[in-house]
Amino acid sequence: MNELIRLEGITKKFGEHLIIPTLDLTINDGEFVTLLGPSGCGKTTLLRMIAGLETPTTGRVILDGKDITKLPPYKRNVNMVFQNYALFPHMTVTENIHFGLKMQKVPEDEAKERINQVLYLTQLEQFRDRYPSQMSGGQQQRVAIARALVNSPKVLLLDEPLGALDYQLRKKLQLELKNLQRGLGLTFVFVTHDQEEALTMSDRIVIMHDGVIQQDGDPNGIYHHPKNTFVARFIGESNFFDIGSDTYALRPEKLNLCPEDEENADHPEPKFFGTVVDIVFYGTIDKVFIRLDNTNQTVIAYQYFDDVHRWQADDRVGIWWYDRDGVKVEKE
Amino acid sequence: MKNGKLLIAPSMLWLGIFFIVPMLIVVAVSFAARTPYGQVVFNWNINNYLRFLEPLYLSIFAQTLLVALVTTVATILMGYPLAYYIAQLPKRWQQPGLILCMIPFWINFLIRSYAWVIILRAQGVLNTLLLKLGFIDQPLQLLYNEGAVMLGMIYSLLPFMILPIYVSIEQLDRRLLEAASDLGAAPFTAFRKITLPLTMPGVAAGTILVFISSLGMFVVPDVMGGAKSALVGNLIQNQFLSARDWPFGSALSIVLAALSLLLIILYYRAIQAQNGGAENAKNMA
Amino acid sequence: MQKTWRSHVLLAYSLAILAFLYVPLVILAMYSFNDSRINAVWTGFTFRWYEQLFNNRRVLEALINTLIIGFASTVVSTTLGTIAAIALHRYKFKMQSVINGLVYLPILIPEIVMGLSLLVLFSQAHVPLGKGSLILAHITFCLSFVVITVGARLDGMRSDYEQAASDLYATPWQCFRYITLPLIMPGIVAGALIAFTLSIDDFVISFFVAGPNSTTLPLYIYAMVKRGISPEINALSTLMMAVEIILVLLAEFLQPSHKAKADN
Repeated sequence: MNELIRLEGITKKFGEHLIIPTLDLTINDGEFVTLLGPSGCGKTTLLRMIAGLETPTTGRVILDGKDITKLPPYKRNVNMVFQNYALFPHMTVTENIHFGLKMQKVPEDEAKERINQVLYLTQLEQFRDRYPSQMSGGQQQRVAIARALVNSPKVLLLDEPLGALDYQLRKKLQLELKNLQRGLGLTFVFVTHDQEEALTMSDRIVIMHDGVIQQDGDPNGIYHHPKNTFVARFIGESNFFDIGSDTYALRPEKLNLCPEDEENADHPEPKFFGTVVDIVFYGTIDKVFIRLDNTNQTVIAYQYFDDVHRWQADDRVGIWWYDRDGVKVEKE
Repeated sequence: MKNGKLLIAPSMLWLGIFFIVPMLIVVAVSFAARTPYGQVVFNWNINNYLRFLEPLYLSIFAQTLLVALVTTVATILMGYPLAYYIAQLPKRWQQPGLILCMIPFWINFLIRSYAWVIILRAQGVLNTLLLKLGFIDQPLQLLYNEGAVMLGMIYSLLPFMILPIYVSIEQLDRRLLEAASDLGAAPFTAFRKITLPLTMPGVAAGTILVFISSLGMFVVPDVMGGAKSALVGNLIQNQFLSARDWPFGSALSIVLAALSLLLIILYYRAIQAQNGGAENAKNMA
Repeated sequence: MQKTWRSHVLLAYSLAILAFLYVPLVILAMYSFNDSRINAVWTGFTFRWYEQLFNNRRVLEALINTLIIGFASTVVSTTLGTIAAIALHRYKFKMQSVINGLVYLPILIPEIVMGLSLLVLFSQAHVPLGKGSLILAHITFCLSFVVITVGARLDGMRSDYEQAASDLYATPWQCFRYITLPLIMPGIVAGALIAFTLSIDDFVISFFVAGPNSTTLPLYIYAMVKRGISPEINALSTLMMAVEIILVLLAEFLQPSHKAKADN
C-alpha cells in the first residue's frame, strides 16, 4: 500500500493546554480510516490539521510526499465534509457543488460534466436547483459530500458527518458512504465518536484518548484484542477480571455461567463466583448482571432466548471462560 | 495579522482624530481662561472647575440630577409594563410590536418636543379643547416650566428604556415560571420573585441609557422650558454660544462626560460581577 | 396568556403608553393640514403649507444640504465601518477591549459633548465651518453604529461557511467576495440606512459644527421653532417623520431578527 498522508511528530497546544502530545500517524492510499474517540480526544483537531484549518504546534503534515504543513487550506488538494454541512445558504445545490471548481478556474464544460457525474453518484439530480434550506438533513448531507467529491481530492475528510441524522438514515448513509469509497477507490479519513459506526465502515480504526493513539488496527483485531482497558471499554462492552497481577478483558458474549455447585462439568473451572442481581431484556439477548463475591464488582453476561437454562435474580453462579477468549490488557 | 491591523487602521485613525483628539483638546481648554474678547488663553488653572461650587451652578447640577432621576423612574414605570406586554405576545407579533415602540425613537428629538409644544402652549390643542369644553376660562400655563421639561424628557427617552427591558424579559426562561407555578406560586408572586429579579439587568441597562441621556439633554429644556429652564445641557450650550466662555463650557462638558463614563463603568462592573458566577459555571461544564 | 383581569389591565396600560407615544405625533401630522394659521382651531383641510414649503428657497437649500451631507457621510461611514467590523470579526487583536471601547464610546458619551468637542477641534485647527465640517462630524458618529450593525450580522454568521470556502480552494479575497459579502450584505444595507437616518436626523452635533451657509433641515426647524409657530414647520416635521419612518422600516426588514439565529 502506498503511503498517502503522514503526520510526523505532531503536537498541539491551545494556550497552556497540551491537546496532543507527540503523535505519529500514517494513512495509506485507498484506506477508509476512522479516527475514533470520546469528545475532546483530539480526533477532530487532527482531521483539521490535515485540512489545513488548524496548524500543529510542532511536527509536519506530509501529503503524497510533499510537506504541506505551512500550506493554507485553499492550496491543499484535500476536501472536507463538515459536521453541520456548511452548505452556502445563498447558493443552489449546483452552485454549491460548482464552487470548488470555480475557485480552481475549471473550464465551464468540464465543470458541467463533473457536476452532473457527482449529482448522479449522490442521487441528487432532482435537487440541482434547490436551496439548502429547502432540503432535508440527509439530502444536505449528500450535497456536502458531492461538493467535496467533485474536486477529485486526494483525500476526503469527514468530520462526524452523520451525527445530526436519525438512526435509520444514519445506517443507510453509512452503507452509501462505504460503497462510494470502495467504488471510487478514494481515501477517506472519517471522524466519529460512535464505535458502532467505526466498526461498520472502516478498514482501519485509530482509537484516540486525550490526544494519544490508544490502538491502531482493523475492526476485528481491535474488537477481539483490545490492548488496554480504555479500548476494551470504548469498543463494545467489556468485563475486567484481575487474576494475580494481570488484568483480563472479556466480552460478555464470551462469559459463560454455570450453577455454583455444579459437579463434573466438562468445561473449564469457574474462576469467579457471584450472585445474579438483575436481568434486563435487550431484544435478541438478555443482559445478566452478576455481582461477584469478594470484590463487589458487577459483570455482564448474555443469555439468549433459546438457552436451555434461564437464569433468575438471586441465583448463585460460577463464571468460566475458555483461556483463548481472555485478553490480557494493560491498565490505561 | 498584518492584514487585520491594516483593516482596522482607517476607522481607528478616524475615531482617534475626530473623537479622541477633540476630547483631549476640550480637557486642555477646560484648564484655560477666557479673555474679555472671548478668546481662549492657555494659562493652566482650575478656576473653571472651582466655579461649580458656586450656589448658582450647584443648583443647576442638582436640578439636572433631579430631572434625570424623575425621568428615569418614570420611564421604568411606563416602559416595563409595555415591554412585558410585547414580550408575552405570540412570537410573530413581537417584532412588529417592538418596531411600533421604536419608531418614535427614530424621529428627531426636536420634532417630538415641538409636537408637545403644539399641544401644550397657550393657544395649543389642549388649552383650546379645555376652553371649548368649559373646564377652564383662562389658558393654562402648561409650557415653559419644569413639569413640561420633564414631560418632554420622559417622552423622548421612553423608547430607550423599552428596548433593553424587552430583550431581558424575552430571554427569560419560561420554564422557570412554569416551575414556580408548579410549586404553588401565585402569578404575582412568581413575577415578584422570579421575573423581576431576573430582568433587572435589562432595567439597569435602560436606566444607564436614559439617565446619561437626560443629563446631557439641552434640546428638550430649550424648546419646552424656554428661558426659565436651566439644566446643565443648556448651560453648556450657552457657554459656547452667547456667553462665549469656552473654558467654562469645556469644564462642564468634561464633568458631564466623566460622570457618564463613571456610571457606565459601574454598570459594566456590576454586569461582570453578575456574570462571573455564570461564566465559571459554564466553564466547568 | 390567560385572559385574566391582570392581562386586561396590562393590555390597557400598554395601549395607553403607546397612545402617549403616538398621539402627539399624530396631532402634529394632522395640524400640518389645518387651514388655520393660529394652529389649534381646525378650520379646514389644506395642502397649502406643503406648497409653501416647496416654494421656500431656504427650506430647499436646507434639504439639499441635508441630503448631500447624508449621502456623503453614509458612504464613508458605511465603508469604514464595514471594513472595521470585518477586521474585528476575523482577527483577535491584542488591544481588543480598547478597540471595542473606542467603538462604543461615541454612542455612550452625550451628544452635546461630542458636538462641542468637534467645534473646539475645528476652531483650533482653523477649519472653517460648513458642509465639510458637518460631513466630518456626521461620519464620526455614524461610524460606531455601522460597526455594531454589521458586526452583529457577522457574529450571527456561522464560521464554518468561511472554513468550507477555504477548504474549497477560495483565497481569503475570494472567500470574502463570494461568501462573506453576500451573506452580510443585508447587515451592510441596514447599517447604511441607520447611518443615513442618524445623519439627516441629527440636531445636537450639527448645531455646534454648522457654518452660516450650511443649514440642515433639523437646524432650520430649530430656528423656526425658536422664532415662533408657523404651520410650515408642521408640514416640514410631518414630512421628515414620514421619511424617517420609511427608512427605519426598511432597515428593520433587512436585519435578521435575533430569533433567526436559531438556525446556528
